[in-house]
Amino acid sequence: MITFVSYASVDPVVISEELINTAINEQITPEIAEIAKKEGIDPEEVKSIRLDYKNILKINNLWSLKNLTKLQLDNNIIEKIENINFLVNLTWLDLSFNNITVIEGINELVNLTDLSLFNNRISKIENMDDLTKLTVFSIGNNNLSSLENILYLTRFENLRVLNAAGNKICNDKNYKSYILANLKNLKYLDYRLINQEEVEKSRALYLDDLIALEEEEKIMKSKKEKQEQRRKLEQLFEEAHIKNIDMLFNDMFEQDPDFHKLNILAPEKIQDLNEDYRAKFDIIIIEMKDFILKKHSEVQEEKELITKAIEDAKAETDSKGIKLVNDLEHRKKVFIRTVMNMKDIKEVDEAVKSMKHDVDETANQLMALEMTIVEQFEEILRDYEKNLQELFNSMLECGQTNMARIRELENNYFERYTECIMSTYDRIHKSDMDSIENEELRELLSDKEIILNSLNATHDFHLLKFDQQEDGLSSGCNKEFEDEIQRTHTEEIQRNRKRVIEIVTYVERLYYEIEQAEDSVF
Amino acid sequence: MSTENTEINIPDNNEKKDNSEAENKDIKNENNNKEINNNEDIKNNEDKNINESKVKKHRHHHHHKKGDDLNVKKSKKKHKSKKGSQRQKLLENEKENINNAPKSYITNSEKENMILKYVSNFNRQYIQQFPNRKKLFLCPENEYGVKKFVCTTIRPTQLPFNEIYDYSSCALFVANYIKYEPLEPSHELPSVLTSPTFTLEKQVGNCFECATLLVSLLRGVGYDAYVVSGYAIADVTLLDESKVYFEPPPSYIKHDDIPKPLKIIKSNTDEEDIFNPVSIADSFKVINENNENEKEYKYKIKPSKKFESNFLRLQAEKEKYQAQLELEKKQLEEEELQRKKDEEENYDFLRGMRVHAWVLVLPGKREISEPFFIEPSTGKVTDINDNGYLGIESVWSSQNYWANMQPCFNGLNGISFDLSDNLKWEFLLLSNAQPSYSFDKQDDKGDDQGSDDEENEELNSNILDLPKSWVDQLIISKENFESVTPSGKKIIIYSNAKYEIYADYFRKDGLVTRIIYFADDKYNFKGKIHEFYSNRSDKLVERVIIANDDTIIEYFLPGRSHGLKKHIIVGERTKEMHFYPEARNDGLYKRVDLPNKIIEYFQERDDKLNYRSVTFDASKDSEILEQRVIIKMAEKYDRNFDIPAHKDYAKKTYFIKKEKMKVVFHREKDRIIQSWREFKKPISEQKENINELVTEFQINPFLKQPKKQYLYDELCKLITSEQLCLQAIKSSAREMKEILQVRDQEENDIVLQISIYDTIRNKTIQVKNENDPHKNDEDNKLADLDYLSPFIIKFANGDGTNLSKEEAQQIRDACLASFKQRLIDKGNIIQSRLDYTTKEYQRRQLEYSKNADTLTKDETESYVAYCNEALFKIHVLEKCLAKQKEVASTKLSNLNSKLKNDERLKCLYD
Repeated sequence: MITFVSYASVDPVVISEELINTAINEQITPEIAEIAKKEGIDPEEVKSIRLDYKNILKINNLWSLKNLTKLQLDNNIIEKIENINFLVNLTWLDLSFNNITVIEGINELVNLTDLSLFNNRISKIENMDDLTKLTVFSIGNNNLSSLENILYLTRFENLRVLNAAGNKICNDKNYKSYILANLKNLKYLDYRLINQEEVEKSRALYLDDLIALEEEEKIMKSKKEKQEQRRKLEQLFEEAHIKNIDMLFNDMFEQDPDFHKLNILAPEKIQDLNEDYRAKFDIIIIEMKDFILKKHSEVQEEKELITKAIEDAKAETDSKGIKLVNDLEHRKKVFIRTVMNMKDIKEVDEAVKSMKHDVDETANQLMALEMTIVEQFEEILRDYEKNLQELFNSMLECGQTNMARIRELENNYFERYTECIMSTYDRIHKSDMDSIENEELRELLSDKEIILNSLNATHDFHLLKFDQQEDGLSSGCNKEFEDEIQRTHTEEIQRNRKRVIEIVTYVERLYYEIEQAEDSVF
Repeated sequence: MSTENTEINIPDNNEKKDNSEAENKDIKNENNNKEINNNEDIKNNEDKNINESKVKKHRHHHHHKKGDDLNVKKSKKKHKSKKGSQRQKLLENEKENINNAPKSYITNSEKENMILKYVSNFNRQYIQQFPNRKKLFLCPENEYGVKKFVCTTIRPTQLPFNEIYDYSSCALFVANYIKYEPLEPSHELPSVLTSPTFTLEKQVGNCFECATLLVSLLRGVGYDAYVVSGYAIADVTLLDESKVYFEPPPSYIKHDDIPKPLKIIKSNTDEEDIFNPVSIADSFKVINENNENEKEYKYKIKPSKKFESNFLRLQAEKEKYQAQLELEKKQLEEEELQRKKDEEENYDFLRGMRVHAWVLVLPGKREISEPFFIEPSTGKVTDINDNGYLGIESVWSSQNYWANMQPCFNGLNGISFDLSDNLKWEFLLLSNAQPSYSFDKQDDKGDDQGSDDEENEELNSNILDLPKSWVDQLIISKENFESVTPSGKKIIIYSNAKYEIYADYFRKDGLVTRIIYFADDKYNFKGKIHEFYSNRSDKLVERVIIANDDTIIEYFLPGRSHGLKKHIIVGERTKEMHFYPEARNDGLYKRVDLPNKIIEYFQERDDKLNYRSVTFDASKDSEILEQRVIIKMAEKYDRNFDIPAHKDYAKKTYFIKKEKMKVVFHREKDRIIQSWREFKKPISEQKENINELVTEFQINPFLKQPKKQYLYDELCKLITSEQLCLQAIKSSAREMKEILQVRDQEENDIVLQISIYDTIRNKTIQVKNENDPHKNDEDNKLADLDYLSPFIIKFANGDGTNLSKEEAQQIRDACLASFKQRLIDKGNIIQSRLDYTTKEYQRRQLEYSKNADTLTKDETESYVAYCNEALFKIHVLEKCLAKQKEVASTKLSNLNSKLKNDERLKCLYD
């Protein structure tokens, strides 16, 4: 706060390309500086940069330095933290000795471990919820006036070092004990190593608060866990292509406007009917769910197995290849050494020829290995395809049969439902229509056609829901199957290309080396 | 055992002659013995006579010419006269010691007498029923000539040493601790069975005594152990292990590469290779099944097809099979021949008659599931079918005695050890008819027996249980326990090795075990020496010497300063050193020293270095590193997954001579070829043209060419790391030198460590320490005190050099005079004090005698107190004075002699 005055006399500066370049050039090691200057440095390669004592007013133009992990902007006159939220790799950020008033614009720097906001004008710790890795935090010499601010820091489980000295809160006699009680993982406070005894004392002081806090935390945690579980289950369903299957029954009725319309006719009876329906419905759904989830896990297992088989086969072939290459390398070494000592041209020719032959031979062997493995992979991939197809077919079949059962159930239900509605309608209709006070009901009862239409609409809606569910399953299964086949094949092809290119490159290189050796003799 | 009866008769006849001769000689001695025995009470003697008369009858079967009452003693005497074995001598000495013996050792209690009667009764019946069988070992005399029932000689005791809580260690302890003496004659039961206390104290015993001691100890720690009396082959009874194969003991340190001697195995080692058409067909089946079974490897890659003729393969296998058959046949024939030859050579006339005793452990207690034998003379655990044992007469424990009713036609094959089976085992005492583990049944069965047999019932009421053991509790001191063997060492010769055992601290170099494996040409094994050490302060535990290869391998326990674990020396030169990597901060675990190359292996380093080698110029070989010319150095690294493979060094090679450096990178995923980059060392002008210095091979053609600055940076780093590597090599060589020096020193001056928990040896040290400080202090004082300097200083030189004879004389005299004066002064001081105290005392006494009547009680008391004190003071002073007078002259002469030896006054005595 005091420093501001001294910087006021100098003109404020904006970060420019020139400024950045100078800063980069300053920090490269002197040995390579010359070369680097000529060649230029790719800003993307810059990991850290120092922009201190530059009288910078506004942070800007750091776009090119995407991969920065360390940024020093201390001792400037920055008033607002901005335009650095995209530097997600940052682990070290120094904004000390500036004129910042609010913590903002850093919430996306999730990798940040060191943050210094020393000597600014901040009055509240906020807007850094996601900086979970924070271990060192300096907020000394600021305008923090309320001890409650410290509570914000409890969310940083990794926080080990805190510097809050020079704030108004330090005058509070409870300052230290409050911090020690609340930040249990802290090791250093205000430049000093924390004494464990003191922590115990402080904790005893705030025991009640702490217990309450812990209780709260526990509740939050269990809530979170439950949510997480729910989310995972949903994800699993989605992966198994039976999304929302648990909600199917509820959706069937709740999303249906016609049902609600008719419901007022005989809510109790319908309730009974529905409950009966639900019980039967659930049995089928559970059966189907279990079967499909089982098959789904089998599919996953199958995927793992094939990956393992392929990896193993690759490792085996590769080890053979590596041995061939190593042997060849050794022979080449010997060759070069002997050729160097040869005097006779003919002899050299002979040696070169045999060496080249040797290289060709090895290359052929490597290619043969590659061809074998291609064939082998083709074979097991065929098996794999077949097995997957079977699994998915069984899933589809299960979906079909169970959905058919459900449709039957629905038909049954619909019959009884219609009967129920119609009988009620008849009963009420026959009796005194005028005695019905409910406007809606009266309107409904006035026209039988409407009721019939609504009934049919309900049925149709249900059937539509079933179709959707079934479609989701079949299209999902087909897509997964195709994707998987596609993936294995592309991977295999890529691998094969890579290997062939590798061998060719290697042979070229060997030829080159042999020829060079030959040349050097003459 | 009865099978051997026909054979037994032959030696028995010979024996008779011996006996009759011996009898005449020994009759005179008997009188002496009788005198000694007079101490026993009359009753006892009577009992004895009764017992002996029974024995007489029993003996009748074997000796037609019956001896007199003291027949038993006779055979014993005969042994004495034949050979003065250590045991016999000790026995004789012990008899003279009879006055100091505990009462139970020299007398029999009423209960014991009853049991003796009962046993003799049993014996009589037994002899009547089985006249052809050899007599049972029932009531031998103890070391004081008192008859004792063998069961009561067992005294179950648990010694206070954790080391022998286990049966194997227990057996080994007895085998090592007791000096084994074969029976004499070998085909007859001994007449004397000493108490285990005697055996333990004298550390000598025959097979029966060893077995009794071992059973006492085993039962003490809860095993169901029995003494077995029977017959064994000569090698067992004579403790001749020269035909036994020695199993190499496990090593202290786990090591993988110790060259093991080839074991002699008769069986076909590679049965799997034998050709068998059926099995081959089977094996195909198995393979097919396997494929189906291995669901886990559902997608196993099928092996690439090989095109070859099945016929040819079968043909080849057939041939191989034939060849093998022939080879085996030949081997069998050879073995047969060898066996026959052996048999002829080793035919034992006494086979089947050599009496022996060993230990049987039955299952049921302490998690023993199968019965087994323990040979007390060797401590070895053997199978119950072991062919070293030929027959069993009886077994007994501290609770009962069983006679074997099963014939031993074929050694011990098929012998049942179910002691509760009355058809197979005849028990002696009703009260403990079954082995202890079947207590529940015992009562019922005992009753059944009683009703069956009237006589037994009658006896049952008379003799209910066995008397308490007459033997005192077994005691052994820790010192003796740790001495392991009687003389601190023991040597056993096996067929393939010589085995030496030494007690801890027995040898100055800490050697506890040495095994010398003999060379065996048949298996192309050249022999080796394997030594085990303990308590060495240099942590050496094992040393293997293979003289043929000029190789010494040493193993060390953790705790040495450089973490040395294993040291291989070939021909005076270190070849390999292994280390405990966890004890070092550089993670080094192995250093191999080849003629022109040193290789170091590392593990678990932060910088992932796992290998460093240095190659020297072979043409300029030298022992000293500084003089060796380095051609190249290489470092290898593990894959660091934090950085991409094309930037992660797998190997750095520094070609010092060629001024080049090469880095090889790790393989990328799915690649078999490594990229590499080679740098020439730059001269400063070349800085700009880094590309000229670099040769590169990049296997991935799609990778971007690295920037010049990056290459140059890499080069700079390599140059520094080369220096570091060089330093590391130098410091490593220094370390090696240091280790060798330290090892040399250690070997020259071996120090044994004594654990702070070792109460025996630490006590002696403490005592020493208590004595030492005084001596040392005095010595130091005298040594430090320069009694000459105050006199020398008066003379010209002042520092005591170049003194003339006269001067020296003067100095010496002055010194002596001064010392004399000091002594006199001291004496005077004591004298004056004594005078003063005495005067004062006399004065007070006078005063008191004057005023005695008028004094108050308090005053009288204070006077008495004073008197006591004064008298004490006077007494002390008088003593001081006497001592002073006594010591003064010796002190003076001491100083005189010291001065004689003083360097500075040398000229005086030249």
